[in-house]
Amino acid sequence: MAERLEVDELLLDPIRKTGRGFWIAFAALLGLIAWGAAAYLTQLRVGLGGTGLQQPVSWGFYVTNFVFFIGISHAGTLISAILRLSKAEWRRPVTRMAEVITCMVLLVGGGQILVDLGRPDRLLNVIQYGRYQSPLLWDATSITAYLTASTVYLYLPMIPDIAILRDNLHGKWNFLYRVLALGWTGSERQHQILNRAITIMMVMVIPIAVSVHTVVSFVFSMTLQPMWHSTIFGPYFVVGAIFSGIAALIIAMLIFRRAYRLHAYLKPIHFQYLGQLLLVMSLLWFYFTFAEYLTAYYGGEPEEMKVFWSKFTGRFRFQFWAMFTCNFVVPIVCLTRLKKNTIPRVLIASITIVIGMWLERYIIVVPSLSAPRLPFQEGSYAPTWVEWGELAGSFGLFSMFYLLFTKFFPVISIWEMKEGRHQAIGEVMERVKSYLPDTAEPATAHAGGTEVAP
Amino acid sequence: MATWGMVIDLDRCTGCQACVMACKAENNVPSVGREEAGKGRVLSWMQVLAEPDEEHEGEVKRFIPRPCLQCDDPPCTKVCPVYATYKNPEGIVAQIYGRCIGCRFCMAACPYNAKFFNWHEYQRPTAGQNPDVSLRPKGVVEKCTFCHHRLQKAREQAAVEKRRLLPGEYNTACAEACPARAISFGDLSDPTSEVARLSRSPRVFRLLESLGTRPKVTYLTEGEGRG
Amino acid sequence: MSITRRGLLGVAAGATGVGLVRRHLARADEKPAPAHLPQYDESLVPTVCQQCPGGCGLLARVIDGEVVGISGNPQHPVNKGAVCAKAFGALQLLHSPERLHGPMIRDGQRGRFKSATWDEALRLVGDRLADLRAKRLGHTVAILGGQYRGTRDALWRQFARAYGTPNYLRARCFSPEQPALAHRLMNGASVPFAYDLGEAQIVVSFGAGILESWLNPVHASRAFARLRRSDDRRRGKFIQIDPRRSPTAIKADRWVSLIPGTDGILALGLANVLVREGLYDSAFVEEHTAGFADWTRPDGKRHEGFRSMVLKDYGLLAVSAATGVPVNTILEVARDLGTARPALVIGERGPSYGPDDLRTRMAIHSLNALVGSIGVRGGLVPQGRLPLLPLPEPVPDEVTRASLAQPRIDGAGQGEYLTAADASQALPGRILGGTPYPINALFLFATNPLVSHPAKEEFAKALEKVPLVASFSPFMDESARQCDVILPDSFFLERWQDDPVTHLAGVTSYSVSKPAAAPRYATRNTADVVLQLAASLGGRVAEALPWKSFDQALRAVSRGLFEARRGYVVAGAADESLRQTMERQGYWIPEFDKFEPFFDALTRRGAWWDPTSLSPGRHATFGTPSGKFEFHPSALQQLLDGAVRREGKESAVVKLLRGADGDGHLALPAVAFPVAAGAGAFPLRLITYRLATRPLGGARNQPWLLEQPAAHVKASWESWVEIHPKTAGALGVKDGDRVLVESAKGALRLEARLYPGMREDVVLVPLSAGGGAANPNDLIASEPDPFGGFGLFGTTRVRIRRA
Ligand SMILES: Nc1nc2c(c(=O)[nH]1)N[C@H]1C(S)=C(S)[C@@H](COP(=O)(O)OP(=O)(O)OC[C@H]3O[C@@H](n4cnc5c(=O)[nH]c(N)nc54)[C@H](O)[C@@H]3O)O[C@H]1N2
Ligand SMILES: Nc1nc2c(c(=O)[nH]1)N[C@H]1C(S)=C(S)[C@@H](COP(=O)(O)OP(=O)(O)OC[C@H]3O[C@@H](n4cnc5c(=O)[nH]c(N)nc54)[C@H](O)[C@@H]3O)O[C@H]1N2
Ligand code: SF4
Ligand code: SF4
Ligand code: SF4
Ligand code: SF4
Ligand code: SF4
Ligand SMILES: [Mo]
Repeated sequence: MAERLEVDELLLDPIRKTGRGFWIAFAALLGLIAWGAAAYLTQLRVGLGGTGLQQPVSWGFYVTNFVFFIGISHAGTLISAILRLSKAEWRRPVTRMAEVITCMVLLVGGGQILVDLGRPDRLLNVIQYGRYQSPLLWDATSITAYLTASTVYLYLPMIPDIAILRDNLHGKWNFLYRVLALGWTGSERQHQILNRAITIMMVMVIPIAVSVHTVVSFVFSMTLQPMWHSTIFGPYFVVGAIFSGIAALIIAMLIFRRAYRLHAYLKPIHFQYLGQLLLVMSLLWFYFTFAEYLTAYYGGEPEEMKVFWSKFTGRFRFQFWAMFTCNFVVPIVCLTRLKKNTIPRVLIASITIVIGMWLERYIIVVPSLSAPRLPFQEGSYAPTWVEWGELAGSFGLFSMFYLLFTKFFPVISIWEMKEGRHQAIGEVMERVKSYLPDTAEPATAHAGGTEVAP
Repeated sequence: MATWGMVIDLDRCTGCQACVMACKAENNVPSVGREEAGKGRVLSWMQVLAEPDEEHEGEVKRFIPRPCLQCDDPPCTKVCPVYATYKNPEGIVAQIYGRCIGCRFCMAACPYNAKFFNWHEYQRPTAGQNPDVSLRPKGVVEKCTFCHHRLQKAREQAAVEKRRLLPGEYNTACAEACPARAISFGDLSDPTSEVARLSRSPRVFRLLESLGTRPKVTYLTEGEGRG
Repeated sequence: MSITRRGLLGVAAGATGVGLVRRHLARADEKPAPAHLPQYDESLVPTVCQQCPGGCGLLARVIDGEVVGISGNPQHPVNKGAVCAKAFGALQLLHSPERLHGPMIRDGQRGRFKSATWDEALRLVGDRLADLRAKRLGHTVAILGGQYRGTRDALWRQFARAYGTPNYLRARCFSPEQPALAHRLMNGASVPFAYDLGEAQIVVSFGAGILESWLNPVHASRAFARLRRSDDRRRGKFIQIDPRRSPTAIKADRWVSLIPGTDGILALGLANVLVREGLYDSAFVEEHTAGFADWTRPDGKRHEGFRSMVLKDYGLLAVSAATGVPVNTILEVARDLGTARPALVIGERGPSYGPDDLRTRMAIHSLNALVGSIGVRGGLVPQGRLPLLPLPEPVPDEVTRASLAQPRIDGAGQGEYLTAADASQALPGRILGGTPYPINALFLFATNPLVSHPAKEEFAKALEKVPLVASFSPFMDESARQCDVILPDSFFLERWQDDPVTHLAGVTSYSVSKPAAAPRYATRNTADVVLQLAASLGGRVAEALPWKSFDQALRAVSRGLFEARRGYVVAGAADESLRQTMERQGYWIPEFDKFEPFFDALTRRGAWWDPTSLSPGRHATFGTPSGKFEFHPSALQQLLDGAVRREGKESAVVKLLRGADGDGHLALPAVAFPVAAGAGAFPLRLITYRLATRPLGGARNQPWLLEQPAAHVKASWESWVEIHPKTAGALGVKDGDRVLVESAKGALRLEARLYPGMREDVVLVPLSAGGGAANPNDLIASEPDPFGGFGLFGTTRVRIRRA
């Protein structure tokens, strides 16, 4: 028999009715995507010459975007997994949104490589002649793995909700829900299986996620280029990834909170917690950056220093210090003592962090290539409209994916909210009790006592 | 098995760029035109670098001709995802234009900036091109090949005459042209060869030796030193 | 390469060497073709490079009739297989899309053309020539030629003489195939003196771009490399005197920067030190020079000699002040020069040294006498003559005789141009003034005065005034555009061509080449066109140029080589060494018994040379009346006396040479101290130079070469100006800024390139040849150089501001 919803009707509204706001957003994103498409077609026609890339700066925006988007992907699956693992109860309205980000952004991020190829028509060579010693293939592999895992990990917890949709929406899409629901009835057994599956996935997903951005960093650290050839690049990239991920997540949450009026679900407290997490990450990011540059500085190797100074005082000083402000100064100011008007402050910090992390990727990719070891003409890279188009397009594509998702599925896990209401409170009490020292009188006696009736 | 190598005497080199043009003519390396050149996209397998003078700011100390150094431990081949650049049995680092996917990873990895990318379709078949060297399409990486096609030709010739390759029979276009005779090319594994002799000189040094790429193109410094 | 070894016979019968040679050569013939070749027909055709006056031997790789490659001819004595960057440009020159596809005839006003057939074009020119000759106006035809040598030059000269015009002019700064003026006057040289760089212990060059331009950078680089390091000689020293730290200066052991145009004064300053410190070669000076010490003239007056002159007038403080070279630098350079032997001083840059060019060159050449390097190995060596047959003396008819008697239009050899062989700089002015007579027809051959001449503006006007202007340029260059008819020449790879080389140490060679490929378009070897014109004129003119085609003329000329019974058609190293050993034993092994096979081999190997060229002997080294090197050349004195006789004491040239102390020093190399001029509105001095990668004609149609960066400033393609960082700083100009360079004559927009390797009061613009590239001659004042007959290039002052 169909499950009845009481309180969470609201969560189905976005799927039920489509307002003006949606179409405006839809059109805007379509615009961005069109720009990107135009840019890419131009590039296909004239070759990468259409970009600002040159000798020696043979990598630019595209590689930056690649690292950046893959980084964002750490928002979702990883965080939600950690929250689930650590049984953080406040996670319930958050995880779904996070997981969606991962899947959508991975598609876009992976696409960047394709955009960057001089011969996209030969992509299949990677399979035909694949050479596994190349970090590029490590990336390909771990990203695919991560994408699959995340998709499964996103899908599993959606099954009960899909079943709800199946039973409540009888529109033209119903067949979709019927298929995807896999005949979910909500029986005890099914719930057990589901929970076990989720647990397995969430344990699996964490190492994969960590591996992904580690190998992304290897693309650089495996070369001999100044300021690339570094041992801490792995963890440095992972931290940066999670950092930017959380920021992206927060922004997404705030947008939907507003657009779909989810104030009841996403309370200041959620943002306060996430904000604190962000603050910690910001400090961690600073720690890595500091370590990275300090070692370079003390090494004082001429080539390294050329790049070093080009960032601190030279051609890239604007981008560099902008990055530093965005990733450290602003967050510190905004995210300490989050009691009062939390949301605007968290929002500001998140936006600057997303920008700052993009800049960080740029400041890693371009300066090293701009300062060749031998006395060449120094490279001066300036992106053309094509590269800006690709950036805009990629962002548009990602947002579009996300938007469409919310038209078909609830952005907040209904059943997990319900579970939260009905079981969790009890469970948490139990759990908390279990943390505490056991009390003297036997519980049974007491219980028994109440049981006994004269 | 011969190991082909090159020794460039910087004391003799006058920076005249004959080697550069010889290479372009021999290997069908096109001129990219004023605009592209302005963007820093000149293709030049051999390049003459002007080493700045530490004592006198901005002045030039000496000229350093830079082909692909044909590293024995090449950072560029390590990163290629499709075996489009690899070290062949004779130690020559080769490019397979037909396979390259244009990811430019090898460019990023080459510490000597010896690789070049076809940002546009720079080459179309025109009169005056060398039929022994294939043209490169848009979107692939190219670089100095030690005039590998010349080795193949010399081999065929030797085969026809049923004999082994004679010393000096395989020479590169740049070495051939050099008016100062600053470039010597030959078989390093043959102790009697000119290159072998020169590479024993006390004046020998390697570009960015500390990187351990073990280039097979080495240099002789200027100065009074004999050898 | 396709070298025949057949038809070798041994006159020196029994000489085992012959057998040896024969056997060796025979083996060389058996080489089977590589397996992969037969699919197409490939050959290596020897040709001679015309991208600069160097005359290197090239091999054109020809496949199915198309030139697909260029390399050095390993057997050619000049370059021994090496080439410079410019040589390869020929490939693009040949295949340039901008080539003219055939003759063009003016269509309405100047600048508009319609294409024409060769018959039309030739008729147009031929008729006019015939008409003028009929009107006894042959002398009103002027021919202006650029930088080329050999039989093409001889043919034009022959044509001019047979047709009857004294006005065959050359627009070039130096004529490598002829002895330099200073050598003619001071040594009475009748053959070119070559600079034996490779053997010298010290070389001091006064602004000759030895490794970049000058006579032949390939030959010079080989010599330089030898000077620098070779197993059988001590490392030599090389000092470059140049206001700019050129690549040559970078390679030198010492770079001496000086105020442009003050070379003569510096030279005399060095002489001062050599004399004062007794570092000069007194033995040589004693034996082989005149005019060193003072002497008494026939009229009993004392005449000051070189010695007292330099001691009296060229004290180091004065010299240092005038040249901007520190006193101790002068001392050090002089001591280096005085202590190493053999020492070699080079004072023969192409463009003029400045207003006092003649005496500057004499002053510098005097140093060679002081260090006793004239006629010695590692010094200045007189070159053996080429035994080429001269073209037959034209038999002038009465018409010709009359018009030949007319004075030259450019006034060369008279008045202020007394010492000049050509005065192209004066040409436009005189055409405009109609002095001494109007010009009715002007031919432009291998020259582009509307770009390359500082007098380009006058030239443009002059061209308008001439009823018929014809160009032979293969391109629509700026001058051709202003012509009435263009008869496009074929390129050197497409035509019969020769080039004698006698100006390079150790080389007396003659290159002949047949077309490597058929002309791509309806172009014709101008030499053939000259023959056709002569034929069409008939009579004595036709008789003087009897050959059906240019190769016939070349055969006639090179028959002399065959008959000389010395020298060889070049051959492989093995043969060469064999021959030389034979020669040392007194054998000369002729390879051919008939001329045809000889000529055939000549064209298929590329050159003839005489490796053991008998030195032309003392008379060629010291051909002066005194039989010595003359510090005070009697030849010059005679010229001046003659001038005074004709034009009186105030004769133009006397005024030019008159020093501070009246006429006392007229014929001595007494370089006048420049009168210090205040900076004024134009504080900077503009200097042009040649990039090593830009050929004659400036590579306008050779993008490959234009793309070659000038390594020292990391700039490619033309249109930049090099400024000293300090100067730029004062002007607020940064590297890469667009700046406006203004002179009294004009203005140019250029990209600023900061380069500390120069004097702060100098700015540099590389020489270019129009075709869109900024042209320094838009700025350079048209100041005639009365001795060279060309313009002064280093005297223009400019100012710079941000654009
Ligand atoms: N690559 C190349 N080579 C050529 C030619 C060419 O076009 N390109 N042209 C050929 C021809 S026609 C000629 S005439 C020769 C000319 O060849 P060169 O005689 O070498 O003349 P440039 O190369 O113009 O100048 C050589 C050097 O003189 C310096 N210089 C300028 N003014 C002065 C001065 O007053 N004093 C001193 N000491 N130095 C000064 C310049 O800075 C430059 O570095 O080159 C021939 N060779
Ligand atoms: N500012 C400045 N100006 C200078 C000089 C300088 O040092 N500074 N140097 C001067 C000197 S030394 C010289 S020699 C002159 C050189 O200047 P020019 O005498 O003008 O000679 P090029 O510049 O070589 O131009 C040759 C022209 O002939 C044409 N041409 C090219 N190849 C051929 C061919 O095979 N046959 C024929 N018939 N024509 C051909 C080309 O179209 C080109 O326009 O420049 C002079 N101008
Ligand atoms: S050709 Fe020889 S001299 Fe000229 S730049 Fe190259 S190596 Fe140096
Ligand atoms: S020089 Fe660069 S391209 Fe050549 S082998 Fe070494 S790393 Fe590869
Ligand atoms: S650009 Fe081509 S050769 Fe270089 S790494 Fe990528 S695929 Fe390999
Ligand atoms: S070896 Fe051949 S390919 Fe390499 S630089 Fe020299 S000429 Fe060019
Ligand atoms: S030096 Fe002159 S002649 Fe010799 S190759 Fe270079 S351009 Fe040709
Ligand atoms: Mo010249």
